[in-house]
Parts: sequence; C-alpha cells; structure tokens
Amino acid sequence: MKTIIKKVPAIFILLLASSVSFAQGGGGDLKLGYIYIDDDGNRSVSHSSFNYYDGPSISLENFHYRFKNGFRIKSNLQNINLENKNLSFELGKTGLFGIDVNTNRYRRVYDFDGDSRTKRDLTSAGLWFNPSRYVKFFADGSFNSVSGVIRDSFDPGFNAIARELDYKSGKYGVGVRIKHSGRMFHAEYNTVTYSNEIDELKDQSRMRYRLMGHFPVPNYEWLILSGVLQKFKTELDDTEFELKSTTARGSVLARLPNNLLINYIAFFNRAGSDSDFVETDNVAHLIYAGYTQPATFGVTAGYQMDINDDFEDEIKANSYYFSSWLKPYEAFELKTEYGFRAEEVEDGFRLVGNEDRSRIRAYGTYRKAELGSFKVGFESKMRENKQLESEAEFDRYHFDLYLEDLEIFMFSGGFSYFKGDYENNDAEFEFTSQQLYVNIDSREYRGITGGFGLAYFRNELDLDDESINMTFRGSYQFWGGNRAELIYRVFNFDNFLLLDQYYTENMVEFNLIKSLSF
Amino acid sequence: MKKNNFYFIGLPMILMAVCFLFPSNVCPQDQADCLDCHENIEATLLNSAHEIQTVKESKESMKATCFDCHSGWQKHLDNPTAENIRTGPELSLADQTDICGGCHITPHQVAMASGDPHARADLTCSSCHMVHGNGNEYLVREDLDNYCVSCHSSVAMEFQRRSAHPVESGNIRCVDCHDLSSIENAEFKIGFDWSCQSCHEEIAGPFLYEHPVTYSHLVEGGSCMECHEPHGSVNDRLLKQTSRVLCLQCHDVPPGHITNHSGLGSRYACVQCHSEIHGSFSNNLLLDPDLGDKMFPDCYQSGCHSVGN
Repeated sequence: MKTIIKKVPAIFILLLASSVSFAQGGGGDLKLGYIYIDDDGNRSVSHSSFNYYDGPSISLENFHYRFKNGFRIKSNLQNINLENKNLSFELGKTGLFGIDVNTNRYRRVYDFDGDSRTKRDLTSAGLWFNPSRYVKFFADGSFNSVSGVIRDSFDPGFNAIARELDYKSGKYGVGVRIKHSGRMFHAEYNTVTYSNEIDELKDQSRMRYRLMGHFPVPNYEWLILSGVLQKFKTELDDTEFELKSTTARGSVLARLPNNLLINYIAFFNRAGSDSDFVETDNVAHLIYAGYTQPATFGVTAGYQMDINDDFEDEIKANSYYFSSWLKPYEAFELKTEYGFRAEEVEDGFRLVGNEDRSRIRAYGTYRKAELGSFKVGFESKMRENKQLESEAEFDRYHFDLYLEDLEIFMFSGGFSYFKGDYENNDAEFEFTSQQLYVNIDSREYRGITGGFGLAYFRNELDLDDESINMTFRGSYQFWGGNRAELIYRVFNFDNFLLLDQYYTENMVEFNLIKSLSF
Repeated sequence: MKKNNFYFIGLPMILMAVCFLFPSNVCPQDQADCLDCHENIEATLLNSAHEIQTVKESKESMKATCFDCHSGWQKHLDNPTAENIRTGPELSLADQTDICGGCHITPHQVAMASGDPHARADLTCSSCHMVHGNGNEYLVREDLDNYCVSCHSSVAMEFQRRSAHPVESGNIRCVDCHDLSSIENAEFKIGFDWSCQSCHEEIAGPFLYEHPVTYSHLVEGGSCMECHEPHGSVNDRLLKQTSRVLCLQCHDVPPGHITNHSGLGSRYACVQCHSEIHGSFSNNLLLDPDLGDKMFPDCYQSGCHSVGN
C-alpha cells in the first residue's frame, strides 16, 4: 500500500501531462505557504492545534480535470511536504468506473512537553466498476498504523506512566451490487488483519460478509420488502479465541394512499465469545407509522420491543417514539421529537438493573429567501437508574443565525448553553458549558476579502476552564486569479482548577496561491 | 428461539428472491424535443450520470433521460407550462423516492426512505443532492467533506471542544462513522462491528476478560458510548464525566478502596490501577499487569508501607 501511495504523484503528473491533447477543462489551486508557530504551555490540552506543524508548505487543492471522453480526475493534496499531509486522488468516469486513494496523518499529544505522543497513518484505496447499468463491482482496502507513546490516565491531574503503542491493521473488502427496476441485491465481504508489535497476543483476524436486498412486491409496488443478513467473526491468532455474531434484519414498508406510511422491522442478532461461555440473543420488533401533508405537516409514531437474552439473564425493553414537523408558513418550520425507553430485568441479574432513558428535542427555524435563517432549539436527555441511584440529565439550549445573502458580508453565528448533571451512587458531576461561535466573511472588494472566526467555550461548576480559538484571515487577488493570503490563528486554553493545564498558541500562515485553469 | 432462524433469515430471503425475479419495467422515451426549449439544461448535466444522451445510448449506459425523472411530459409537450410536468424539489419524499429510486437503489437510498431520522424530519433526496448544475461527488449540494454540519451546527460545535475527534483537521469525516450505506443499524447499536473499532482496533477485543459494558450484545452492555461522547467532550479522552466519577455511574466503591488517603480517589483514579479498562488478558479485575512495579515507588519507597504490609 505504501508503494502505491509513493506512486500516486507520478501517476498524477503523467495524467496531467497526457491530458493536454484531449483536455476538456479543469482547475485548482496551487498553494505555496509558510506556517509559523509560537506556543507556550501544556501541549496535551489543546486538541484543536495538535495537527499543525510549522515550516514551508506545498499544497494542490481542489484540483479537478475533465477529459472529452468523460474521464475525470480530482485531487486534494494538502501540506504535501509536512507531517500532517492529507492527500486524496480520484480518477473515474461516471457510470463506468472510479478509483480513489487517500492518505492522512494525525498526531495526538499526551504530556506537557509533547514528548509522549502517538502518530496515526491512515491510507485507503477504493475501486468500483460498472460492467452494465445493472451491476456494480467494488473493492476497497485500507492500512492503519499507530505508533508512539501513550499515557493511560484520562484524568489530567495524575501523572500516568507512559506506555509504548505500536500496531498496524489492514482492511480489505470486495462486493457486488445488482439493481434492476427498483430492486437491489448487495453482497460484500470484508476482512481485517491486526498486528500489535508490542503484544503479539493481541494479533487477530476479522471477517464479515453481508447480504442486503430491497424488493418491491410485483403488482403491489407500494409494498416493499428489504432485508440484511450478516456474519461477523474476529479471532485471536495466537489462541484462536473467537468473538462472532450473526445478524438478520427484515422490514416491510407499506406506502399507503394519502401519504400514509407504515414500516415494520424485525431484527435478530446472536452473538457470543469464548470468554462469555454463553451466546446472547437480541431480538427486536419495531413498527413506525407516519403521515405527511406535503409542505405543511408530518407526524411519525413508533414502538419498539426488544429482548436481550444470554440464557442466564434476560432484559426486556419497551421504547416509544414520536416526532412531528409543522410548516404553518413557508418560511417557518417547527420540529419536535420525543423518545422513551424502559429497560427491565425480566430474569437473572444485571449490574445496572432497570433503567429508563428519555430524550426530547424541539426547534424552530425561520428562513427568509435572499437573507438567511434563524434557528432556536432545545434538547434534553435523561437516564435514570433507581437500583444504582444514578441519574444523568443533560440539557441544551441553542440558537444559530445565518445571514448568507447580504451584499457586504456573510455571517454565521450561534450560542449554546449546556447543563450536564450526573448524579451517581457516591458522587456527583455537574457542569455548565457556554459555547459561542461566529464566522464573518466579507464579499470581495477590489480584490480584497477578509474574514474572522471565533469559537469560545466556558465550562463551570465542577469544571472551571475556558478556551478561545480565533482566526483572522485576509486575501488579496492579483494578476488574474492569483492570491496572497494571510491567516492568523490563536488557540488558548486555561483550566483554573488544574493550573498546569494551560496552553497558548499563535500561528501565522502566509500563502501564495496560483489559481490553475485549463 | 434458537430454532427460529429460518423465519428470521430463510423466509425473507426466499420472498426477496421471488420479488427480484418479477420486476416492473421502465420505458424511456425520446427527449430531443425537450432541448428545443430547455437549450441550456444540457450544460447543467454535463459529465454527470444524468448527462443528456439519446435513448439508445442511455439504454447501454448508466445515463438517464429527461423522462426518467420528469413524468407528465406528454401533456407538457402539447402545452408547455410549469404545472403539468413533475420536477423534483417540491415533491414529497415518497414521490422523490419513486423518481430517484428508479435507478438509485442503494442501501443509502433504502435507509433514507424507510427508517432514517432524516426521512422522518421531512428531508428529501433534494435536500442534500442537486441534479442540475452540480459537478460535486454524489451531486451533494456543496462540495464539502463534512456537508452534514451545514444543518447539524450544534454537532459542529462539539468538534471544537477541548477533546474531540479530528474532523476539524480533515483526518476523519462524518461518513467515516455514520455509515450512510448501512441499513441494518439505522435504529440499533447492537452488534460488534460498530464504527469505533474501525480505527481503535487495539481496544476492540476480544479479550479473555471483557469489560461487559463495551460489548453491547451482553446484558450489561451499551457499547463505547456509555462512557464516551463521540463528537467531542468537555473532559479528556472524550469522556462523559471526569475519571473518578465516570466509573461510579455503574459501580459501587468496594470498601477496601476507601482508605486513609484523604478519602476515595483523591490520590488515584480508578484507571490508575484498573488500566485495562476495555478488557484484559491477564485478570478479571482489569488491573494493570505491571501494577506491582508501577505502585512500588509511590507506596513502598515513599516509606509509608513496607513490602508485605
């Protein structure tokens, strides 16, 4: 796979050169830049800035090219020369075939100085081919590599011991999809190999195959059957220790007159591992019914009954669902949703006992053409466990404003207020969080554009921290489609309870962008 | 229950096979007349699967014709008004499903038209896809890797929290976890191949000693999201709560753990000792295999405890 990635630029250049004689058109941005970073503090606390590196950078962004014969290439090669490179390349022809290759890197920092860190390399490739309009073959593969030093403690107050991490995994899949006049049959096979360089005991292999179908009943096209059958198995290479499952799902969808819809779903899953010494069945039945008055009103109600049975213990759950949307005026929309789930131990024992969960969401949106939209909403989630005297409640209020079609600038902004309350058997964790975001981008004036972005967080009560991420950006267009771009970013994080949890980063990025057009 | 596999698996498969053998027919018509009036429309479809072709060509390739999507064309040819021909965006989901589903019968389309929350919220194919004048992949309205956040703005904010998955840096995309081509798990998180283990294989198991909550097939289980907030969290490691409190959402504190070290957990988090929290190969208490070495300097060399005490 690595060899393929090394050859990608060569293939790309070859295609670019050969395209001249029969090119239809294309474009993209060639970007040469320099990133300067000045930071201070605990590098492990600011996730937003983990993946930035300083130094000169080369990118080719949004490159696309169409040939007269319908072949297309598309490419996004960001920071080719830096450790945070993010490269993607696609070649294909609509309705005939497609190939894509992607690779990117990500680092994660675990301690104050950034000495403990891990690096993840992910490379993937895919291929599909249509021998006829009814048949599609596809295949894909990916290679994931993680190495470095991790610290296991997830509480920043503790100085955890460092542990080395080094593992690789490869995934490969093939499949076929056949479709004809509203019918579809889909089959795929996937396999995974995982090797751990630190602990070979963890090396394992996985496989999955999946069959799917979707079929309107002949002469009763309003009645649609669909289903899935899936087998999954993962096995430790050393001990042949196994984890496996079989899943089947079937549904009947009836589209009745007057925009009435009824959907019944049956689900069965049997799973077991050598460590459980039992097999567990999950069986579920769902029924949804919905009514829609186009462009005016819609309502859906549903019920689900499911059983989790491992032959020693059995949990039964009843769930109810209700949602609706209403458009009293074309510009205004109101949506609500409510779900409730009650789990009961029917037989045997479960550590967490009976449990109730509920969720409610409601929001309204006002849209005005040639201006933008305003959205305000509320969401609440609750989990209650009487046996453990545990209760978790989570509320969120938010509003968002988009002004997209103004003459001078575009604006998007919003504010969210969260309140989380986790009351446990022996302790309580409570926090409030306020989040504000703003994005302003000016329209072009004499080749000049400017913009500003802000994300502000403030967590309080059992937490006491604050973060501010700001971006200032400006660009000047010159000599046709060329641009000079200056971006200044600030990342700041402060934890007022744990005083070594602070971090400030100033980043200046300068880019010269050559706009390509063929 | 175990002997009923036929009803769950075999019978539906037989029914589907029967249905597949008797499909209905679609009869495309010539479309040259359309371009007499809609002369610029051809350019808006160039190089897409909906590119204008002759009927003969369209039969041999994937390309669609005007008539595949716009029914009512017979009346429209006689009397060309906007009212007597069907166009996409103003139609209901069911009608759009009929049109698009004529060709686009994929697991994604099936999921959206049946149990998917988008469908229940009055979103249609054209809410995200635009057929004319769009060269984006899958004809998504905006060529953004994370197109979803244009509606899910609150989720977008979660990715900017102190601890978050690297969506902002472009390392993963929404669809890497939210598999739009899956119809079997639209309402469920039951099963082993959940999204998380695609990247985090090292904690996916199987383990000789499992932490039951990580396996949603077990009666204890609710999967990774019992402890983690997948988009972003105010706590480190995407955790729902800080470490000391998190474990207590399910576990009582064993009496031996309440010590003279100024009370529970003031010095050590649970995972300091129970470091194999996702599963262990060495012990059913999920303890660190190197716990003895790890604790020695703090507990014994400090002078507080002697070995064997």
